[in-house]
Amino acid sequence: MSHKILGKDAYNMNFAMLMILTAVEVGAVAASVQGGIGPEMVILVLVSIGAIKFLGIAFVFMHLRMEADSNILTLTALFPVFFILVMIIAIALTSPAAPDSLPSWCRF
Amino acid sequence: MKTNKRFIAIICLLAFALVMAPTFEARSGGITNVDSGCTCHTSTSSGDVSPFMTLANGSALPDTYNANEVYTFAFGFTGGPGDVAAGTQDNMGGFNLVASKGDLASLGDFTTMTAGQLTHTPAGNDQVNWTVEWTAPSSGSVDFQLTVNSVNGDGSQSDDDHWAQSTFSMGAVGGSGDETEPADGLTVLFSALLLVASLLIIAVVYVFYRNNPSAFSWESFKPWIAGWLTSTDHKKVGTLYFVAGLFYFVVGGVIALLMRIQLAVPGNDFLTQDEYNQFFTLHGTVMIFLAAMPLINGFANWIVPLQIGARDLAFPRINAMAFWLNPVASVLILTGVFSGNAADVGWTGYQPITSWPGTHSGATFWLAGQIMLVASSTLAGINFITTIATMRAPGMGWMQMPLFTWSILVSVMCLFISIPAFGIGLIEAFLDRTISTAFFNTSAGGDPVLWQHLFWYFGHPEVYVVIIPAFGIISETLATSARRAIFGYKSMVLAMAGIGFVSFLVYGHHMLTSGMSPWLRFVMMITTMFVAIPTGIKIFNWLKTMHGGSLVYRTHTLWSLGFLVTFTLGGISGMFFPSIAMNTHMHETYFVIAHFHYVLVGGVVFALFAAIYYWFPKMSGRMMDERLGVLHFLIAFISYNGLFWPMHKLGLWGMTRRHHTYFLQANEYSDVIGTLPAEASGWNMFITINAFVFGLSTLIMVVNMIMTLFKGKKAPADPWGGWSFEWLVSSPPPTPSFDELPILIDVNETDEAKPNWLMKLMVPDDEEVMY
Amino acid sequence: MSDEYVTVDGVREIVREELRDHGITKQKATPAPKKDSHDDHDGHHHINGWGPHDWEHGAPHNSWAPIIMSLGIGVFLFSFASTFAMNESMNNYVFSAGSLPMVFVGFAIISAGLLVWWRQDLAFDGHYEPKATGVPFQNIDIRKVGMWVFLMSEMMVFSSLFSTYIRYRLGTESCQVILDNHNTYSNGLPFSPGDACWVPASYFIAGSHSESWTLSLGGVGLPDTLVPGAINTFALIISSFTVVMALKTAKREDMTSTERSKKVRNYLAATWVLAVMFLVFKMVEWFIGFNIGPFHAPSLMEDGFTIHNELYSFAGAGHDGGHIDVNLRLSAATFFVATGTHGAHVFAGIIGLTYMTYKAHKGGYNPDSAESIEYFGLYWHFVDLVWVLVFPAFYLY
Repeated sequence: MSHKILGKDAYNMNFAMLMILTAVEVGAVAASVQGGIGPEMVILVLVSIGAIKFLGIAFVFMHLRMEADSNILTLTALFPVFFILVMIIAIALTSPAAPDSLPSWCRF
Repeated sequence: MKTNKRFIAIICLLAFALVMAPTFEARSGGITNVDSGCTCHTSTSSGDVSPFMTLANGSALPDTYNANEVYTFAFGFTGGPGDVAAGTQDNMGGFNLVASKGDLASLGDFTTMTAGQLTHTPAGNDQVNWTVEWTAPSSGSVDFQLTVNSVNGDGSQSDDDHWAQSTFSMGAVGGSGDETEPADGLTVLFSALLLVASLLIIAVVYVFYRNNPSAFSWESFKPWIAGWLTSTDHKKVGTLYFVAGLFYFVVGGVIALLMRIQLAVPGNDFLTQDEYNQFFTLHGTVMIFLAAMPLINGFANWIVPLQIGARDLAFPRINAMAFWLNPVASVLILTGVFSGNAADVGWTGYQPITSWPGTHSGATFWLAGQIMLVASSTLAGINFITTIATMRAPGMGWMQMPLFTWSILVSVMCLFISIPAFGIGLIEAFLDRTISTAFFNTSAGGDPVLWQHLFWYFGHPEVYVVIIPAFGIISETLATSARRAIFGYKSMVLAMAGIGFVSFLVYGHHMLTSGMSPWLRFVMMITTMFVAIPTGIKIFNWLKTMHGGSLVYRTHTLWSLGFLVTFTLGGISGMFFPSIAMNTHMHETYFVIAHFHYVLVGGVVFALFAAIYYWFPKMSGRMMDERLGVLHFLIAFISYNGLFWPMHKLGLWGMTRRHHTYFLQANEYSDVIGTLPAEASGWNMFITINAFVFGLSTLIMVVNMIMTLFKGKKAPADPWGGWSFEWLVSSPPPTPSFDELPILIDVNETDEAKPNWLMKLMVPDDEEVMY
Repeated sequence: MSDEYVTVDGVREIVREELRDHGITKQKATPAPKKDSHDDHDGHHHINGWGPHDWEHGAPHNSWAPIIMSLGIGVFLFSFASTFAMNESMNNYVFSAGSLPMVFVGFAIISAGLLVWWRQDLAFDGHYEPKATGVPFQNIDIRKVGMWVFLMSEMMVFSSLFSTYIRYRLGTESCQVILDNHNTYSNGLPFSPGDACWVPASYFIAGSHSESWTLSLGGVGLPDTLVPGAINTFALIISSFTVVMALKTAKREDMTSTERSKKVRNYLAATWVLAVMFLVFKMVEWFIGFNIGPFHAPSLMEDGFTIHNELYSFAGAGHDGGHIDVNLRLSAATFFVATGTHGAHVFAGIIGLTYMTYKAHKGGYNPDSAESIEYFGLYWHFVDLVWVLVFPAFYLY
């Protein structure tokens, strides 16, 4: 039950990672509102850090890795993804005015 | 014994009070309010006196008034002993005028205001017509009740004097009509509802009495009823679902019949427009959410654990919770129906009207009730998905599961994944209507089409949620009746799963005229056409099952055959709609009504009837009467087609849904938009008659069920020769259903446990799960 | 076997024999408790639906909790809808104080039902924990599968909220763009005061609009208005950590049960405190604002970011003196309802944590029943996960 990341307890390591990444997120926004970095950079930072945090919570805290039942439960958790995609494409991105602010490759 | 009599007396008194209650509330003030100016002369009402009311210039009373404007009316009467040339006699007539809204003011010496009502002065007695000034209110329709007396001038009361009473109405311009008084249709519904409720209570007490006549007392009744209220047993909860579902099936049916009476003849005024709006809203909501889904849940509760060889559902208490949310939600949904303030927004609750304050306040409670149903469906979904995925008996793999269980799994999956979208839409609309958020407020930038998206993202899977269990039921009954295994089991499973899957990709065909993204419209048109493929596969598999077997004609077989015919017809009419052009033309016509009643009644309800005749012996332990069953089928099948088939024609003529009345063309050359050919009147009457026959035919089944409960002959464990697990146990099944868990072994197949990719992901048998 | 008929019982006997030959009879995954436990179905210990439940006899057979809670929910929703009703012009609500007590009565009834439910559960010691049989969840606790199935539904709930947000965010013209275009929509139509356009919450929370910058360091700083949100983000992550630590501790065999119970209780209590703190900071950010030492920030409400504000004077990022009067009700409604739904999930978690802390205090968690903490933890981590998405999307962007 005591899983390790880099030789340390997995829960502790994951916790430390989440705290640091969140601090980086807040820092990036703080930097951007005072003109330190551009808005594209902030969005990139937020999205990538958000994804890493997401995986950290799901895989370690929610036991979707390193347990005997992790694989099949990961599959269960992924089941709604298709339906979420349908929802995002059909509901979120089809507002009549929505395409104006989107890059051409994802306009509907 | 004395206690028992008192007990029965109290129940009867309660039932009587319940039935009588509406009459006190629903009666309008009536003639007793009219003071001495009018009825003092006589007690005889006479047809030869006709009251009239016009504008002061003599033109007819307008249909609508302008808010807060001051009007002058002329009113009076013609006919009777008082109708003689002026000056020939004194004491020609009298009157009393009451306005339901606005302010009346006396004009001149002939009239006077008494206690808010206008009546004549002694001088006014010598007149046959009078004038009055009326200040219009700001909103709502208004009724003027005019009572007149035509007197012969002799100054004494006698039967030679005549009186009459009339009501004149005006509606507000753009009026919300939010304070319509309870009228006939509502009273009928109210009484019917309470009558059914009282009968239900009496039935419950009677069932208890029959169980053990010697122990008929409160002391033994209390634990018995507490057992029902608190039970988490899947069979008991299933029965509760049935009782609730059948009750609301009757309620929805009565509402439908009231609407059919209104539509029987053109220009009818049996229901007002306002009542009609409420009734079609409640008819749709009640039939889908409070009748069809609970009935399906009833079967799922009863049969699924038996079919997969489980002792109960995975979470019995959550199952009870999912049920009990239903009756409470139904009260919220029907809130306001007795005061004429029920939801009037259609079962789809389209925006922005649902978030508009001009709709009835009942719409808020309707939304609240739907939120509770969403919670209920989510809880039921967790339960059934988990149960079917984890509690199958040893040896029962996915491809050994009976088709009914498969159908429940697919339908619950669809519901479970789609209903959160509906829930969020409802919460947004509910907050719009209560704390005034702006989600669907167009002036604040809200987008009504968002509601349509959220609703139909759920709504289309919802349609399949009710039809897929019907597929499962028909697969069970037809295979058993044909005395062979279902043809193409795997293709049946895949077709069902495919229908469930595709249902998420086609929902936009409900919105082709809503102005949504053209790109999405095109995609949804194509995907919708794909639905025909898995459905067609199922139809052909059923045909092939019968072709290869040898059919036994039981009642449930007849219903299944009826299902095949009507569902196919409904499917064919459905094939017109994916095409954007056809859809634009036939949108909101009776063709749509005909189509979805062919699939929902001819599909779902017929399958539910088949299931009742098929599984009732298993549930009650008694065999139903086959002769009554056949009679029910014949009457219902014929009247059903008479009821819904002509609607196709009416729809193509241009009869629109959700309109409280319709008008005929004056002649074949008149082309007033919205009028129908003269034949439409006859067909509508035909439909109404058939609706009553179809509605009453259901009573045959109810009578059959009740008689069976008491007099039916005992059912064996397997009356029809079915071979799924539910037929292994006795009828009715004991609790627990299985002494030892059954084990399934498929003699036709070799060892199917070949390792595949999925198995590599699973927890192997020899490894304990590590926590 | 094909050329002679056998009875049903005969078939079952054959099947049993065959299974015995294949060694399939060992039903280690049987979810059922001891067989005799069900015989007294109508016996006295089951008919009592008030609890505590005797878990030696399997899942509860009777419970008053469902019907009571359903009634409570009905009363709550009914009276809530009676208390608040939108007004005729659809820009505020009419408040009827008379029905307000009934809202609390509804809450009380729900709580009463919940207490019955918990009273039945308190005796659960992990002895009765059925496992799944068969593909694909074999050998996993049924409760765990149920929890994951529930989380699927939760994923769809938040997807719906995000769909609403994205649709409105992309489909509504940004006020900043209109202001930059000199009061003109991008399609060329003129903007008139009171028209709707989009002001993201981050304009108030994380934008240069914010008045006070206490935590700034050499040109890079954190607006004070973002402080509650940032603290909350850390609070949720810490609470996620304490809940896994509670689970880990509850599973430790190398402690005395008193010692273990105490530690588990403390971890759960810490989670509870962090969750309450989350909601408190949320209220501060929405309604109260703060003014502590050098830190001071108005609440969103004081700033004018409310669901009823039809005329907000929007000055934009430039501070060049120009402003437009915008209707930001849609932006506000989307923000408050999406983050509010997340807050409601935190609130539900607090209610669960209250019970679990009490149970831990009573020594209810041992290595056998520790899974209950894990299943609550799954929910709690999911709420944290949603915050990971909500925070950047609603607060920062």
